[in-house]
Amino acid sequence: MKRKNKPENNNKNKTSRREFLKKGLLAGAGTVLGGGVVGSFNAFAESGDTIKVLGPDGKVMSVDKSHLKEIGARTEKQMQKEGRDGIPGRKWVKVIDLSKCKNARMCMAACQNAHQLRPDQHHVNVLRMDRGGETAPFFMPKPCQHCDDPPCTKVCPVDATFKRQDGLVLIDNERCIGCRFCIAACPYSARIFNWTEPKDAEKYEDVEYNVELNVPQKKGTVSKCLFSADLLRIDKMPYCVTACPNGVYWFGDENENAVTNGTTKETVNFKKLLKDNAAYVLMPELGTEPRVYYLPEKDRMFPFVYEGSTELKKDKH
Amino acid sequence: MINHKNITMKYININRKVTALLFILMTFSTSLNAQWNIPKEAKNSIPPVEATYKTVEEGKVLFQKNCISCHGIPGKGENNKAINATDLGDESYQLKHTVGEVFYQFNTGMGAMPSFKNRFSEEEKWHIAFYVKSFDNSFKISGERIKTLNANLKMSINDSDKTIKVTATVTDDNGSINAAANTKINFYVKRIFGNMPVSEDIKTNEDGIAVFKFPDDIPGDEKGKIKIIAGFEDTDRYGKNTETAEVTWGKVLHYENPNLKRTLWGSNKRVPVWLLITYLSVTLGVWFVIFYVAFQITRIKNAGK
Repeated sequence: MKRKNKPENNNKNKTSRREFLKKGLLAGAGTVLGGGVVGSFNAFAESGDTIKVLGPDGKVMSVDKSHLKEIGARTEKQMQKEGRDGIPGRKWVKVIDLSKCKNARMCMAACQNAHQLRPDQHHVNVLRMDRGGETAPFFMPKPCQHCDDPPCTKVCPVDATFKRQDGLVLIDNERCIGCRFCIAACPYSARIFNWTEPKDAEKYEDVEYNVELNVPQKKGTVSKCLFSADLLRIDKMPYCVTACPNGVYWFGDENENAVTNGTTKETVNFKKLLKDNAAYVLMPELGTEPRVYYLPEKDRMFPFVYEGSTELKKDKH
Repeated sequence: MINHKNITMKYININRKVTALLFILMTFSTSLNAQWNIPKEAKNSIPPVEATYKTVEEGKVLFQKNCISCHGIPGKGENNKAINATDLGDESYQLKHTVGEVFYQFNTGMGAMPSFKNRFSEEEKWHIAFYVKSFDNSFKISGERIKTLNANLKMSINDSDKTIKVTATVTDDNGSINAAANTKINFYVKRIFGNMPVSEDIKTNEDGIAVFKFPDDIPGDEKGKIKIIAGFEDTDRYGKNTETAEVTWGKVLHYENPNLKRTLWGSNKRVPVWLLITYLSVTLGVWFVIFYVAFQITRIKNAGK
């Protein structure tokens, strides 16, 4: 795919020109995925035909077809292979500090933006919780726990959902047959199902499927939190982590024993943070070994206020 | 580990879409419509501590840790517009608010802004208010302005006992080099998303020399390689110069790809042996019984002929 097209070849016959245009489209897709760059603007004569591509910032741009050239865009095959293998030597962990969450929901918005989700579809969801009795309610962001012993991958009949070597549990929408066994198996209700055509389906029509981003989403398949595997590949923290305005999220590599706060960018000792703050995991009795840790809602920064009330309205059954 | 069976994952029984919408509307309406209601006493309240360049610097440190996530660095327009946070360096803000009012706002909180009343001591809160007001030219700060010196760090690595000796020097205007004595030096190790501090309270001596003993429990890569960064704690006085060294003192990472093990959660290729044997023997057994029965039936049929 790295072969370069010379301008004289493009004008010689129709077949090679068509091939070239195809590659141009690929390059357009590449820019969306952050893997490609549209360059060499003066290398070719203008053909007069324009093509609309998605720029890296999400804007639709119009570019002359002859200006498009593929530079190192990853093919779907490559993305699939890398996406299954994971990043060697890493063990991603997330720490969620409940004492700092005030239900700002910036994490959810950033996540939905990145993964082509509607506002009612959650990879990460902020729940209203209490621990029963007279305990005070609190907010709890709940992403996929990326279990080390995931119940969901065990039940998949087509090997669509899998565990990677760096600890992430991902799903391949190209393989998924929509049986939803994994949704039933997940004790944390972390998975969602695309019951309808996904948001902006026509906008993503020509985009190459990226298994590390679950974009484009596909109707009739399952989707889930990916810890923003596409960003981790370029050494960046997940979308939700950096979007939080209140310093709720810490993210890092367990092998490095360090986590970094998405808001303050402060880096601390991971195990010391857990020890000093009495961290816990959700439902440890199930033996799922989650990779998401919670710090209890002690010394809160914000009072619990939801819909004008400081009490949690209980469901009436 | 604490048993958290008590955690109940309850959703409130309203359509989630409506909830989300309601919520967004609510956050916006509270943060946009709420008004600061600052009592008149706050305007003229006199700070119990003096505003000096030193206290302003202390406020700056606290401000950077706790406030810039929403307000940004004052005067740079980095404020979070989505939650209606103010750029505190803005002239319109500075002209309207005295230092007492800044203190009051910080103390009380409003809408999206939390109250910091119990988070800091009285003094610390005033220091932050001083820092905010330091962007107002008419605000009086006493004492001497801190001048950033032309300082440098030099690292020498001692592999045998895992120590790093740092020599801190200051070059003055005349070009003569002096030792930077009694100043705190911070040591960090490079991690994927940032630098993690690993030293506590290390100060240079009279000759500008500080010695750092590398802890044993810091993980490195598969060869134990690790990057150590040294810098001045007091960056306003000594500047942001840092010095980096690569050593092999980290704990060696024994990395094993867990996906190569045979596990229940793995794919078909990595199925546990016991499961494979059980499954195959059950399947073969069932097929054997079927064939055996069919064989016997044909034998009975043949015998009847």
